[in-house]
Amino acid sequence: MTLMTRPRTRPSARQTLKQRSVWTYWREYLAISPFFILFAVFGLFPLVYALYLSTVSWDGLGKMTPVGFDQFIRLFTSGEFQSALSNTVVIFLTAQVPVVVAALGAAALLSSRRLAAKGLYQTLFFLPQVTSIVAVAIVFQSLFSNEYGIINSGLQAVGLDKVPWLSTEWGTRLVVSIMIFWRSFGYFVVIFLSGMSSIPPSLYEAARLDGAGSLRIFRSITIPMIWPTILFVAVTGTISGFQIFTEPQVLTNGLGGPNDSVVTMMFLQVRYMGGTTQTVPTDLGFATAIGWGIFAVLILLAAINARVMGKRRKEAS
Amino acid sequence: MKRFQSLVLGAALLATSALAGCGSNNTAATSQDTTLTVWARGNSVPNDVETILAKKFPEWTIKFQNIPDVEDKLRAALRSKSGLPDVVIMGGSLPSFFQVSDQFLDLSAEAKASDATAASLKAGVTLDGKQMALPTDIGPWGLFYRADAFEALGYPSDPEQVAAKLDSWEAYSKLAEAAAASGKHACDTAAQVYQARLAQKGYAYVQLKDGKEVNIADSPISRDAFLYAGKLAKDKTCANVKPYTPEWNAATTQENLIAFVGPAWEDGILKKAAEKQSGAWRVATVPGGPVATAGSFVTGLAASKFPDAARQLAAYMGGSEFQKAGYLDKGLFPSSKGVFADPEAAKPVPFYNGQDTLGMLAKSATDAPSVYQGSNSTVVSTQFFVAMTDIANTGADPATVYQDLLKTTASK
Amino acid sequence: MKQGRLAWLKHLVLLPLAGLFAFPFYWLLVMSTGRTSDIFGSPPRLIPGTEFFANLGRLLESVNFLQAFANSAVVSISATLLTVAVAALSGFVFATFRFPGRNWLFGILLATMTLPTGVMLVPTLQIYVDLGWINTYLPLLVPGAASAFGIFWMRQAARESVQYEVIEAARVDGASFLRVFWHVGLPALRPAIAGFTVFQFMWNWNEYLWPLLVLNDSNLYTLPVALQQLNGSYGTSDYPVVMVATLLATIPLIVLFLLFRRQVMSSVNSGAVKG
Repeated sequence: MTLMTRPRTRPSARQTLKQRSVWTYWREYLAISPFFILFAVFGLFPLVYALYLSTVSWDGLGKMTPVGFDQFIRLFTSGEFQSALSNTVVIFLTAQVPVVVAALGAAALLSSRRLAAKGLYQTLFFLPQVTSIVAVAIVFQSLFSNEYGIINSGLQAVGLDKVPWLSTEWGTRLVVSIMIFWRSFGYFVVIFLSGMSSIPPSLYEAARLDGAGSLRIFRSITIPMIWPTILFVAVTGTISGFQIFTEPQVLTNGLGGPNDSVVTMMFLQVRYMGGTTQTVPTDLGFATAIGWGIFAVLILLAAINARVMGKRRKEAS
Repeated sequence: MKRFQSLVLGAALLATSALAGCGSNNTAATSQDTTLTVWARGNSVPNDVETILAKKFPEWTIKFQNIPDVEDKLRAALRSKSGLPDVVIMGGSLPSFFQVSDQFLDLSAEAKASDATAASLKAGVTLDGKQMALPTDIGPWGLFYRADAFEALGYPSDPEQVAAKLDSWEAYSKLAEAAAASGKHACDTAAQVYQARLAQKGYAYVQLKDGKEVNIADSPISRDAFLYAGKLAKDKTCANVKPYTPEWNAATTQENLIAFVGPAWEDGILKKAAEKQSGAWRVATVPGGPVATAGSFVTGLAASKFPDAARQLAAYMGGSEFQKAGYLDKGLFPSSKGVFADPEAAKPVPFYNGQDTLGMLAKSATDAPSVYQGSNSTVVSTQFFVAMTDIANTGADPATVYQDLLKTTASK
Repeated sequence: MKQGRLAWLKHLVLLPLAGLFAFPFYWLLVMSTGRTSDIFGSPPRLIPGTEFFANLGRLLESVNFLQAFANSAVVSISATLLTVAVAALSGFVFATFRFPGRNWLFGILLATMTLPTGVMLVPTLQIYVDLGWINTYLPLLVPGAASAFGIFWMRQAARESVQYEVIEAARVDGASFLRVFWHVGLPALRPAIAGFTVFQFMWNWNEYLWPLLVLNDSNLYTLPVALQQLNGSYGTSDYPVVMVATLLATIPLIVLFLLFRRQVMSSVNSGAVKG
């Protein structure tokens, strides 16, 4: 692409890298040190502890019982983690993936210089982000309630049947997905917008003069130019999407919906930590094993992500 | 560009000054003066709790901390053995603390002197017989109903007559079906009915045998209650709304819910949701006999530097004077029989058309059987609660659901 | 002409969508001005009522709102500035400087984002106890000061907007490390910094669990903890008061967004090229 004006490889840097002693880079190391120092102080010990905790059974108050690898065997055999994983995947595919794609499109629309009232739109899309989750839960329950919900009243008013939103597995999953979409849309829009502001307006103008249409500009300028941001959203969006918890928790009053249909991996972990409405006996050992299970899934996804995005990047540029 | 950078610089200065000023000064007790810290949810104590305590114990310094989710915080403090208060008021999850009862003070002497109802006092006793906590409020159950709606269905409206007519669960079923036939609901959720029937028999899935907990999840008491309530759920006789949810409020506000059985504290949500129906509601005894469930408890911590003072303070907070203030301010139903007899507390309530609801529910509180709550009772109970909701949603067969549930619950 | 029709089409898509997104917030507004029986009536009230100040009065009566608001402001502003400053510098260095082990260190940083932090609650609290940090704001400020998420974001933003020639030129001119960051990095990262600041502030502002666990003195409570005091053991009974509280708690976030919106949006390149 000729539009990519900036060199992304830095040939001179590689040469100097070999010649200088490590100590001459002290400024660089100092600048990135806070993260590693804080992680060493506040992350490492808890991490070791979390390894230990996964070999015991503990309700968080009484005595710990050493159980060896039982918690991991339970993780693989009880079926709870597997069903939580599949719930998570369903919610991820129906909520997180569409919202990122939609937000990318909306950001492209909202960053166009000619659009009137774009400030108003940006603000309105951002509102769900700041609306307290307590209020959001009340609103969504009031909207989707089977008997008393505004949506079902509306459906009946126009002669349609009521939809059993929150009393069926798929209905509940759907409402959770809608809620996630609604809540995180503005978040992704802001991230994409901040990336798009690094694109020099002159690039757009040159392309327009060349007669390129909006779609072509989006594909050939916007996407390649904000590729690092897209990568960032792909990685963090996958991590947060697979750790979804708040929406199912508040929508189902901490119970997990019909047949635990919206119990995600994180929900399951918090449930065993005693943090949701108690439908299982608290066991921090099992909760920790679930935590390691989530970790394994995320690492696997990160590897896949890196491959896919790496390939895309080559295709794009 | 320059403006952005000076903004950054100014912000950094601000942050440094804020950081410097925000370390809190932890003033440790230097003298031997009795200093006590109390933890409680603000909503489980009277409004001016600090003044009341300062007046009662002028020679001590009592620090009251209003703590939401106090049980979580107490659990964390017990684990790290730091920052523990001297006295705590906590809610329903008391049995989960029984296994660490050595961290709490023994309140046996205070319990002997207490005038709390027998069942509520017993709920604060651990497996090995230690009085770990004293009740500060309780939940006697009542049948809350709308007098006008009952009349429309051909039922009496006076609480005494209602109680006489609805003396059994079968009679209650008939009422609920009649209400459902007229497009209204006389029970909120079948799960509440199920719980009422269990508590009525003093049953909570475990039994004490030789000082040990024995799982009795598979019991005729639970089975009968489950099948009974399951039918209400399956036939959609109940409104299928859980208390403390927006749906429950909507059902009540929209006059769809005309009666329900529930603990005394639901009076708080009822009065808000049914604000415009003031004067229409009454309370009668629950069909089939008195029911009461545990509310909040006050306990003292063994780590307290002033254990005697902590015990005295706990006893006071579990006593009639303190509970009366709590009832008058927040409607916290007292466990102390002294309040039941108090003319300032037991008086006509306008919302219930001048009925003396305290006196009415007090009878339930006094006569209800005590319920032994095991450490896992709440968990098992929630599982049955969820299953009942599922029946209401899916129309599944209660007997089958019950058998399935036993697979997970009977083994724990 | 074609341009005009296209814009019209865009609004046709955006306007209903924006309405849907704003509706729950609008309803929050309505709920905070009504009574419980208005909120749940049929049909539900859809225009604001007149009870706002009555609800506000009940809120101020039961919770020390202003104190908690001030506490939250101090904690959230300090914590956010710390986190954003560290993230901007570290992210910029990761993106534009080369040094041995850079990719490895960055890989480790990314990997920490997937660690099971939820279960680390118990040992982490123990660390705070051992450090004597209980009942101070330090646990809310220090451990979160370096955010892997933030560093990652800033690194990616720097890769997009920092022009290598500019840095080289600055170095040839003998500009010091920090000067390069100050004169090249900050201006180029402006939109990302503004966006991250808004989110980081919001997350700090809404943080509930750690303030609950580490703060013992009610006078130190942050807003979420103070607002949770409105609930009883079983849940909310006074919905309008909760709604007023959450509405007021939202105002700083909206103000912040409005202030920073332009920074997120405006193009950086015209400036960065000039240095």
